[in-house]
Amino acid sequence: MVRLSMTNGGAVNRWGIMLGSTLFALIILLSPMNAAEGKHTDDLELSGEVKNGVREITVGAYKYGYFPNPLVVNYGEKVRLLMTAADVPHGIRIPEFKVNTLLPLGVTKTIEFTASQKGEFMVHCSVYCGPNHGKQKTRLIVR
Amino acid sequence: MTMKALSLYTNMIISLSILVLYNVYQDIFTLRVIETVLISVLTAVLLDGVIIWKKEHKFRFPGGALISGLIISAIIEPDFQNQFIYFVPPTIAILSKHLIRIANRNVFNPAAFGLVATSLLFHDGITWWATNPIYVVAPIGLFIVYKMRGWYLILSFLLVTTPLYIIYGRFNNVNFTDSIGLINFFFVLFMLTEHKSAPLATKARVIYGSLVGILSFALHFSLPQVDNTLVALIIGNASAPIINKWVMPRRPHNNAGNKQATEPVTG
Repeated sequence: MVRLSMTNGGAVNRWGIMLGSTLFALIILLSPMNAAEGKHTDDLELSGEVKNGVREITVGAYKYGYFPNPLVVNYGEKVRLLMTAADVPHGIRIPEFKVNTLLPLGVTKTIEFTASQKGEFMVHCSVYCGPNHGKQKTRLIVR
Repeated sequence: MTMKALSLYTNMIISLSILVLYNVYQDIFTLRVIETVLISVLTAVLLDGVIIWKKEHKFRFPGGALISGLIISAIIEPDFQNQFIYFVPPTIAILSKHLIRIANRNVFNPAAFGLVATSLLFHDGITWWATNPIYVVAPIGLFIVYKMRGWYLILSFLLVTTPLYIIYGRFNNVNFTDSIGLINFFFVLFMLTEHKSAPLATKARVIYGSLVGILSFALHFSLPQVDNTLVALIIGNASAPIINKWVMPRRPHNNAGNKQATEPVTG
């Protein structure tokens, strides 16, 4: 059997590479492409309400999502998120607005930022909260 | 041909490919996700291939780099606006593998090092998007642990962390299943067992696994800016030479003692 040598002193089997590559190619070829969700952002309702010039949104974090979903604010607004975790500790990360906070259980965390960039931004959970942690996300829409 | 007949690296490559592709296929199959996987894997493989060729003037297939690329692609955030970022973790991973070495072994787990560095540089990056579901991760992960002889590592980690998470859950009204779900099983089965950056002697492995477990729990609810398990692993990697030295019998001319600390264990 032909074997290719490997960096770490082990060996890789030619059949292994062929099998891996074939699997990769097959799944890519046979899978349906997901079309991007194309709902027009102007149709979405603004989240929360404005109090003393600040858009205040009460946000719940749970396995595996956030409510409301998406978060919709106006460009230039000051935004205050009042965040609670419902089941296990979660986190919230919006890198573009330098938000990265732990949400412990039983505590309402207040997060403030100014919506200084227009566009759609991914909001992720920043604390490992379970096997589907990677799916816990929402969008922040600044319009 | 059976899985048993294939080399450890081939098993790892096939297992990780299945896991990543399963997740790509399941729910978030987009061109962006495929790009993430391809950029991570190809950057790691090509860079490692070039470095090996420069160092040894011959080509060897960089299987370790392919594994690092697949692990990075399973963990890194697939929704970055700036796709340049996808080149960063595999590049740092491979460079760390070649540049940060002690006794001809890389000090840090390359994928963990690349991901933590990227998350610190860009304040983002780690989502573990292709590391579930548990019924896919567990069987292929346990098979890898069996092939890697990583039982002491994972058992010491789990024996430390499981009670801690259960106690945490009891005090915070988190149910039992959710408490156990806070343990990152992909990390435990696929990353903790990486043999180049972990100690080899049994006692050292138990100490190392326990240390990573304690750190992982301690960091979980204190630092959202970094990933608790990956940072715990990097600290564990940095401590591995010290742990090795500590558990090694202090008899400098005793060959049997040295052999015990350097031979792989069957745990």
